[in-house]
Amino acid sequence: MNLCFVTPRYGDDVVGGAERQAREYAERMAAAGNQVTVLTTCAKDHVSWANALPPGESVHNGVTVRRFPITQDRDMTARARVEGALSSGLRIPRSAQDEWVRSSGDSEPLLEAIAATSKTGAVLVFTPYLFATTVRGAAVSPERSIVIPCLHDEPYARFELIQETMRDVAGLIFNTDAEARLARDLLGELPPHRTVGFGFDPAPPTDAAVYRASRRLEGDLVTYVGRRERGKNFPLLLSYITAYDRLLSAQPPVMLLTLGSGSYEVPSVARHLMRDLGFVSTDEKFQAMSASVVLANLSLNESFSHVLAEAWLVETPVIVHAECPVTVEHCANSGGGLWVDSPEMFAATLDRLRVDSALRRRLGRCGRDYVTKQYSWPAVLARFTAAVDELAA
Amino acid sequence: MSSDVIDVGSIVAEIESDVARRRAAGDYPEALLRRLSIEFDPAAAEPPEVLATVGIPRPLMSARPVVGPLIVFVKRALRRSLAWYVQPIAEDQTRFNMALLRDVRRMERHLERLRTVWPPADDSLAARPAAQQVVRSRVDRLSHALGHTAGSAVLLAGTPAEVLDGIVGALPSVLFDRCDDPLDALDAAHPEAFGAVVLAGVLPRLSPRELLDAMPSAFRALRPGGALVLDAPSPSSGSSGPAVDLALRSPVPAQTATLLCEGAGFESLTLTEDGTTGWFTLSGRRPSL
Repeated sequence: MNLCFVTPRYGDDVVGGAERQAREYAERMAAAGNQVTVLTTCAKDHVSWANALPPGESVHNGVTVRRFPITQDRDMTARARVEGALSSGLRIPRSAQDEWVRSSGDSEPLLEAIAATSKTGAVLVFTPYLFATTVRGAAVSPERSIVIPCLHDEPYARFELIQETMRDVAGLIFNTDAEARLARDLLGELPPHRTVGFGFDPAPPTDAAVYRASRRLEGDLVTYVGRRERGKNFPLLLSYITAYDRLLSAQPPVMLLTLGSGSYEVPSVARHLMRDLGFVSTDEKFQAMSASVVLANLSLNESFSHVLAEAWLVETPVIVHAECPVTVEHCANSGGGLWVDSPEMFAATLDRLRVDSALRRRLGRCGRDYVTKQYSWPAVLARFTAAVDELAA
Repeated sequence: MSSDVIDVGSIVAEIESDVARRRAAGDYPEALLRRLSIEFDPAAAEPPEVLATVGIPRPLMSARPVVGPLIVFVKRALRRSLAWYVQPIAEDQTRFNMALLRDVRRMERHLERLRTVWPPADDSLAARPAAQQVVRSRVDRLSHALGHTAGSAVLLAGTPAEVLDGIVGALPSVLFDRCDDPLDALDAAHPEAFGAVVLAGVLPRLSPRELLDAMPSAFRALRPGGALVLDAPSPSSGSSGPAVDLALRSPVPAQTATLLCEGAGFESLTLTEDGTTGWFTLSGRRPSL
């Protein structure tokens, strides 16, 4: 199979679920003997879109990576205008949609490379849906293009420009059935599509007691892994933890352990309830999750939610937001987590999990079984290969 | 999928039912919960660049029965009919706001270079048992390093309250001069005013520029033969205390602190590292005449 992945950012240190997914697919398909190329930009972050990496070709983990410079400046005023119009319920004209898309990772040389690659017989796989590399790139040769949207229920998903892109390609690959349902709600009739998901290796061995001693962690822990920002509902989680500690629980205090990055300024009322470890190694991430009573992810913007699966690999149950169809679906299908929609529900659920260790263990084991059976890499790559074969045919 | 999958839906329903019962019984402090949530108001946490965008984010809604949908329809129609007039004004205001913000950010950067507001220590950490162990250890080590200064004036600069109280209690014969902002205190001190200067937990709170200035300032404030004593969490131990003190901006390794003291002219430097708490203590002397 001759595959070409197109993604706005690519690299070991690029943060983002969709970008990580693209890299894992690319490297594992290459390791399985397929011819794999990646076309990407020189940007490392999706805020400034600065050309931080040198253009050119390199080989990384068996994958040929070709980088092209961003050629369109990010127009903050234009973006602000679109955001303002969106928030006032106005329809965004197509020209403004185009301006908005072009200010997110647009690269003319990359589009030329896509055109050249499409003539080699490669199947073009674009991810995620929101950026110029996908919207403009998939329009170059839609009949050879498959999009992995990583769709969220957000205003940009309603841009006609973006919806046309997803309707016109050869096929769509979704991460969950919930994401596919969202796409159907937004687009109506869908092109051929499959649900594949993300793969996971078995977790490394963990020793919660040793880890807790090494980090001087005391008491029960709730772990949060990811960006500490409003888009991931981190302020809401922190407010729930604070309400739990101050007003809603008679149990001893619980500590929110956070892993990742983010610029959210923690209110002083909550600082003593949180300990931030920042970016840690993959091993330590699993250790931290295994040492926790529960992993909490109240994000509403998920197309798969890797952290849930990672928590389940170490048999740690999860608490998710009741209004996120993707994470609720995972919990219901796996039996590995519970969902909440208020601070009172969060408090009652956390109390239950802290007190009922047998329930906690059962939830964790169910989650682990679910991930190892549905989302092992062999299972996922088999589904991905079959999907590409069927959609590109 | 495993045949032992738990019906989590029923567990959630059970918890929901319990919560509803407790809510109906008035078990939850609704007013306090609302007030607490304001602390985490996402709008307040948004950076000004987002708030500077002038829009109309308020959702259109009506709780009136029967006519509610009609009211929402009318409101939406009215909003759209006026958009031709309002939108250009909003865009002009947004451009102005963005220009203003750019200037404000530029001034912030200038101010940052001139002066840094001293972040207060987070005294709420003192309540936790592990924090108290760290405090005891720090007080012991700092007091030991100050043991020779009986009767001398000692400047305790930027020292967290619990550590300060411990040191003062351990050395009743020493004259202590306390201040909250160590940089201000050192700048304002008369030359050669103190027998010792204590900078407890200060170094990680300093910007790089301030770090370079702090040791020479301490040197100037010490009389010949006077002692500088400082402590800080050692970055290699992964320790920043049992909970996050967000005032600790950037960890300073012991080796860096030692080099800074040497560069400022201190001699007889002694470094001790506490493997249990992860803090190090460094002491040195201004050369005697």
